Amino acid sequence: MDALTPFVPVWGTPEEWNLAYEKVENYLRAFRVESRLHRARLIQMVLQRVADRPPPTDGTPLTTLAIREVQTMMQEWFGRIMEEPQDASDTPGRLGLLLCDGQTRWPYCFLELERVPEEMMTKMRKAMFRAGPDLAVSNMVPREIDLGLMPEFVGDALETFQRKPFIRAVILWALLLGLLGFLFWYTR
Amino acid sequence: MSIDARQLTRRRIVFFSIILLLTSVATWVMADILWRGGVTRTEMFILALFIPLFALVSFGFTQALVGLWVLWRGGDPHRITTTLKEDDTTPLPVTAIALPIYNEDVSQVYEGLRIMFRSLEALGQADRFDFFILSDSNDPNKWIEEEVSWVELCKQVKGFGRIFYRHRQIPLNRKSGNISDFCRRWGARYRYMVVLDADSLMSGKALVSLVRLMEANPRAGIIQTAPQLIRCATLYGRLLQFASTLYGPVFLAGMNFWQGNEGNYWGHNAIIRLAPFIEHCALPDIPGQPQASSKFMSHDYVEAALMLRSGYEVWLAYDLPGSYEGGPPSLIDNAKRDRRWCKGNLQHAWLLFAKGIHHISRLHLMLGIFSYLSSLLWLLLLVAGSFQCYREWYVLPHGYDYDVGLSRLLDIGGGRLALGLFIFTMSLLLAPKFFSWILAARDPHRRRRFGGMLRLCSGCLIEQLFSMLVAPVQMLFHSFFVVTILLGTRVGWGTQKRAPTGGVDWGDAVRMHWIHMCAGLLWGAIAWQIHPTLFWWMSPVFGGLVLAVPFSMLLGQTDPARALARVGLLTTPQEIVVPNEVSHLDRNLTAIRERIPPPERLREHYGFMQVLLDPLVNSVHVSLLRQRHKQRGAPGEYYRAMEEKVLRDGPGALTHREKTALLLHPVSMARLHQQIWLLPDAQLSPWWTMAMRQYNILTSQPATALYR
Repeated sequence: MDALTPFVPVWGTPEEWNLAYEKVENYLRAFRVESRLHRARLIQMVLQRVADRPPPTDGTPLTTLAIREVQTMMQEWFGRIMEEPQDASDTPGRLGLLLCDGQTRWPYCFLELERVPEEMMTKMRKAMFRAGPDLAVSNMVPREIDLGLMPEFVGDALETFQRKPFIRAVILWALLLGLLGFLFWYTR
Repeated sequence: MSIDARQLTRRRIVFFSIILLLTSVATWVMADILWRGGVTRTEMFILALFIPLFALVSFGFTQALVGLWVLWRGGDPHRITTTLKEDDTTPLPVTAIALPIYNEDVSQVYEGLRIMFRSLEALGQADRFDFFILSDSNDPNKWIEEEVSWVELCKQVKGFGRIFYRHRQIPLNRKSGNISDFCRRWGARYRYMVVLDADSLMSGKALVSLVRLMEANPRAGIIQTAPQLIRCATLYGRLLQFASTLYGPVFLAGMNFWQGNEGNYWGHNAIIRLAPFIEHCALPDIPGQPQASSKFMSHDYVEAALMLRSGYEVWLAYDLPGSYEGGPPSLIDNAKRDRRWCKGNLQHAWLLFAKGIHHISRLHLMLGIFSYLSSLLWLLLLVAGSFQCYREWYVLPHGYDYDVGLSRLLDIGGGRLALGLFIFTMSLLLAPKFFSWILAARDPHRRRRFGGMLRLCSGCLIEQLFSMLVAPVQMLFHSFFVVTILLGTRVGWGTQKRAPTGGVDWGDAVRMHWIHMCAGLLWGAIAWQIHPTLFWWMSPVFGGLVLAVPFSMLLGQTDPARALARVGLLTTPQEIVVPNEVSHLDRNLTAIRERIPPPERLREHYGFMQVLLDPLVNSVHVSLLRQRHKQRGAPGEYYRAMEEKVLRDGPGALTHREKTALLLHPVSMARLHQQIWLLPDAQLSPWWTMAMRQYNILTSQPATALYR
């Protein structure tokens, strides 16, 4: 692994570069770049590329420039590995990286242009999943069933209960009053 | 396997004759007790309630009696498992294993699946089964966790192409709709489908045996296994586990005796022949229901009835080992589940008079209805009984000791006759437990697996004590459910709690049981006023109700369960000799639970956060969406507004509906992931800044999404 070279930006405040460092680091950690050495190298590479450019005139924060840079690098890297155009979505590349366990098996290869093993590239290209097998469509429809007398006698009442909760409440009250009345009469 | 129809009829004649005999004798005695110097309306009412209730008690008793007889003789010669050949090596057809889930504990579901996959692998049969995780989850945390866990699991077991994941955008018609959706998409690829529940676990051997049984019995449409309860940690769970393991076999053997090849389906841990299922078992609509919930909630009984109607058989493989499930952790969770089941069973009334339904299916449906309705009838009987006592003591000229009819013939007096009937009823209620105890006690091997004779007996007594106290609370729960459901109260489709999480707190217990306590106090006071004797006779009922709150809390605790387990009480055979699958599941779940959970502040929106922040999780989600919804174009204004809102104000600013809409849009998801990292902190909600800093503190390798 290459030794880290001194990083001396000519523009931006140390505070801004620190924030950019932190954000790129968080992003790389989200990519499961667990090797601190490799992460530090990549962060420096990203920040160096940003620092090598002239300072932004539109006030774009350094954190945004740094993330944009790392996203561009990833776009290039995934495009090259997946043999897809640079402007294509990097989603298949990210998925390939996850499915072939790229960050665990080849911990120092992420975003490297020269040292990516052939096996890693092949595995990433071939990595894909299928959430389901090919469809074999069936027609599953209910058969005719004669429910007999139930729908006629009960169906209408229940349907009314469903649609009109007030009627339901009135019936409940009537039942309660009826029960009390019955008990009053019955106990005499 | 085909049981001779005449033989089955003979069995049923014997079975139902015993029930009729017991019920008619008891009815006669009851009528004799009530009919003292004429019969009143109350007495007629009591008798009318007594008859169906006693018939149900007799039904349970007879089933257990027959089960005892069958098991004593070494098993039913006409059980389906006799068609299983031990040395059968015929290649199996590829079978689908369908696992419908809805906001479940992802670790539990996936670890169970892993165990089953590994178990099949060990038998060299993994390539004969395709697993389908059929998700209806609408909780973003669960949804994303399911997706990530699926990828991780497939990577770990090399299961891509064998384990599939499907998420439904609209969970139409709940679980039955979920299974139907699977059948419509992929059903034609498979000859059989094994349906599992979220907490189901089956050994590879059991799965292979089910397929072989289907192959050996071409007329079998459904074969249901009898899952054993496992991994119950609370006192309530362990009581259920002990009771079902000890008492279950006699009931199951008895049930198989009378139902034969016209059995029932319990919704999971069963194998289904797909062609007739697709052709005949699509659920009919319930009249008058809105389309989204127009299907039967308890679809299983209906599907069994439709399968029988199509001419196929439904079997209960009650003695097939290796089928397991979890149980509800507390009385309250059980009640919540019962509420859904109650509604589902009451809905079956629509089919009672449907044309073409097999008479045995009508009986199954009727028994399901009465399993809830009987509680209301018991309640009415007890209330009417209390009232009758009042009349006997204070109003009517002739008390129970007025000697007429049977009591005069036997020269024992009405009071003693009533006592005799009470003892007879209690004997029938308790006899099934006694039969089960006999079976365990006579077999040294089985006895040891319950911890030995002393622990077996102690366990039975503890279980009996608790079931006596639980029964009145269940009675009031079920009665309330029946009345409110009949009045049209809506019953939702909630996620079932399957594992203890901190027990039952005071608030929940009081909210759920205050009415039971009040009912118990009031009823007890009235009974005392009527007569102290009545009070003492009915004190077990009041006792259970008055103590409902502390009792329910106690039952939901794990500490007393652990204390009992330490001294070997309520032990079950699968705890003494733990099946491989269960011990692996325990080990894996323990390891997962020991991992550090996400920080508290991130937990509420963890799934949503992860899918936006984590580039790898985002790639999984977007790829799955693109496979399923290829037609999605660029998001419109509605989505753009939501994207801005979530970036500016954080995920808490979105409604559940908005979150779901965003999660379903691949372009929005990909763009949000890019934006969230790109935007400076000043333009992002502080929640996102905090999330970016904290997300990576956790360990690196994701086992599941939640335990990253």
